[in-house]
Amino acid sequence: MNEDTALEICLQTWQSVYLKPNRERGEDKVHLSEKVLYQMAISGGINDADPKDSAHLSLCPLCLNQWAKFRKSISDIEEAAGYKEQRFVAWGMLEAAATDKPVEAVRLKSACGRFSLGLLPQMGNPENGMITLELESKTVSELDGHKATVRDHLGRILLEGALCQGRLARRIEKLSNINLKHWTVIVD
Amino acid sequence: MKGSSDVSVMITPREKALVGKIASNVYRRYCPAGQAGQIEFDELFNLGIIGLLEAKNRFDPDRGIPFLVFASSRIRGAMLDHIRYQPIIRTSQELAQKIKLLKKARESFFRRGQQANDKILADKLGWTAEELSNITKHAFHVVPAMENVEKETVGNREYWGEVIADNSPSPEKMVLVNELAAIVQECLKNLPSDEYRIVLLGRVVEELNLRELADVLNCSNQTVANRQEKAQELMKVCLEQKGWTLETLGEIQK
Repeated sequence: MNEDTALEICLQTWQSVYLKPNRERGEDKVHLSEKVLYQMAISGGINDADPKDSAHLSLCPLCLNQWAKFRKSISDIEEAAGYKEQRFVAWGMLEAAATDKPVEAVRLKSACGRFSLGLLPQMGNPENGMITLELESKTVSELDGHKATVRDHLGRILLEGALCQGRLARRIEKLSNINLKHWTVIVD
Repeated sequence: MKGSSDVSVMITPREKALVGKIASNVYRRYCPAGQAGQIEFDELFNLGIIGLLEAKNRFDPDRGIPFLVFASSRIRGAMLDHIRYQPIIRTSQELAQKIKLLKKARESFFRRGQQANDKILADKLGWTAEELSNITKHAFHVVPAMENVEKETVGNREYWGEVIADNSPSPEKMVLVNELAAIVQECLKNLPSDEYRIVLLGRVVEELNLRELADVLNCSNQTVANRQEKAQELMKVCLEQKGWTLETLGEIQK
């Protein structure tokens, strides 16, 4: 083990022990508010902070962790400004409990109104059926031929393939397993 | 089943770019090139979109944090939760810590654009080739074992856990750990200022980069690097003065 690794282990050990408040060490449970931590995470934030707050931050692993999360979030936002996400994204949600058994056909419109997700249970065997994605007529020419992926709330792929004449469909089993609390369409 | 969507909640191009950027960072970090990661980029992107939508529902402007900062944390969290819920191998916390060190070492070479073969990695980490090979085998989807669990349900998901070892810390080891933590705390207090502590902990524990720390401290990257180096030196001297050597640390690592 080299010295840097050893020091890292020491600091991680300190973090894991001091993350838990300990009355024997005389620690109170007063931590910095999210607002203060956010202010300290912006440009020049430590310099502009109240010295008491920066002193607390420098020895409190809990506050330090939340502060670092804010700092990383700010970096993500700054970096995202130069990032071009080419995919077309749409989404929708299901109002009723996702565990309801499918009995009749449903048609869910995406928030942008450009897609419809259809669940078509079989007559007499509602657990099996068909799942379809349809483009609104105005969008067909723009997105036809592109690869679309529909996923449920748990990230499971419900449909994947090239949009053909504004449609995509497949047979599906266990319709009640699908969680449509949120569903997304990503078109490459 | 009834379907509906609140059309007032739309995804702006800026938000979409943020999800893409975070997915790209998480993918690069947890599914590095050349390794058989089981998670696809699109999977992370989709989860990020769901994280973003949930953030829109939960955002409270009275908290004094801008929406994108709040959402960014939710987006990253949604992706990391998914990674945690992958089929996993449960193992000891010690092994999990070594895996973390290995991933960090790999990432550090990757960031500098250098190829890291097993020998270079083993040298950097101070491990034998055999030890490195053993740890590499477990480097994916590993969480520390807190208890022996065969099948577990998390939310709507079920996954299987394989318990390789249950190395719960012994009382003797806990004493050592607490003693070390108290000494580290003392040494941290002895550093010249808050800024040295924030730089050291920000870099080593929270893994912030030089630019991020330079920005909050209103100084140059070089100043941050210098303070980190100085803080590390002072910490090593202080720990040694208090009797903590690499050998003693080895006891904690066992």
